[in-house]
Amino acid sequence: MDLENTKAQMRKGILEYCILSVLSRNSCYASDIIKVLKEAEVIVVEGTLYPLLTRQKNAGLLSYRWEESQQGPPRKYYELTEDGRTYLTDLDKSWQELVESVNLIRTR
Amino acid sequence: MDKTININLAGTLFQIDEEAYRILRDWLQAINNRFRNVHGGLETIEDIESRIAEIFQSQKGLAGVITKENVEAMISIIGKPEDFDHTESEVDSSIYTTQRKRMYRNPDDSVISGVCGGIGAYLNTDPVLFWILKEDGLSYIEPHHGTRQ
Repeated sequence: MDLENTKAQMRKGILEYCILSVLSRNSCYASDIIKVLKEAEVIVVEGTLYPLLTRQKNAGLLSYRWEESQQGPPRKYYELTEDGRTYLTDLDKSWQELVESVNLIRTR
Repeated sequence: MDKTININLAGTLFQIDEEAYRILRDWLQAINNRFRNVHGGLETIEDIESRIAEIFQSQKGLAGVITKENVEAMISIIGKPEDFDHTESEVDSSIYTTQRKRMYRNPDDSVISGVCGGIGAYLNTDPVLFWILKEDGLSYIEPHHGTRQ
């Protein structure tokens, strides 16, 4: 068993949920999302995020708009779609259940 | 006098020195290998390209020459493909089966105004590789012998 690998698997499972959760408050540029995820230590490098954003967008959970930037090329600002909000509500519930299940097992 | 190469990243021109260019090229190739057969992978490659341009611009503005240190700092921010936690397994099968061999200018792939993307799609190869080859070709036709500023 590889501890780092197990930890990475755990992070991987919650990353998509975390992204939607960050976007539930307001629309964000990828770097804004990365900042939050890095502070929370669920992500290490930016490259992890981009494929996930594309996938969630293609799944209809996110949409984006372009905004001009002073610091370089135009930026994509992502936000949750209606489907994304519903999806997130389900995940919130599921996460809550998971936490309760794990706690139940740990404190048995 | 160090040789510099002009490259186009997400529509922005940068001057980069030769050593930095080699590191950038190898890393881009690794990124490309990682995403090219993944569904939506081309968009991911474009997003990363935009981010590279943004990082370089914040490091140098538009005037300075991009050095090895700049490229290494950028790579430490975006990461190497092997550091990306999330493993993608969804291979886009249409890449192998349904594409007709027709040359076209690809509007969704802005690496060198879509021309390289078009050639890449035609030959079933990746745009980044062509983008690199085109840069190499350019440096033969009109060598950019710049001095560091």
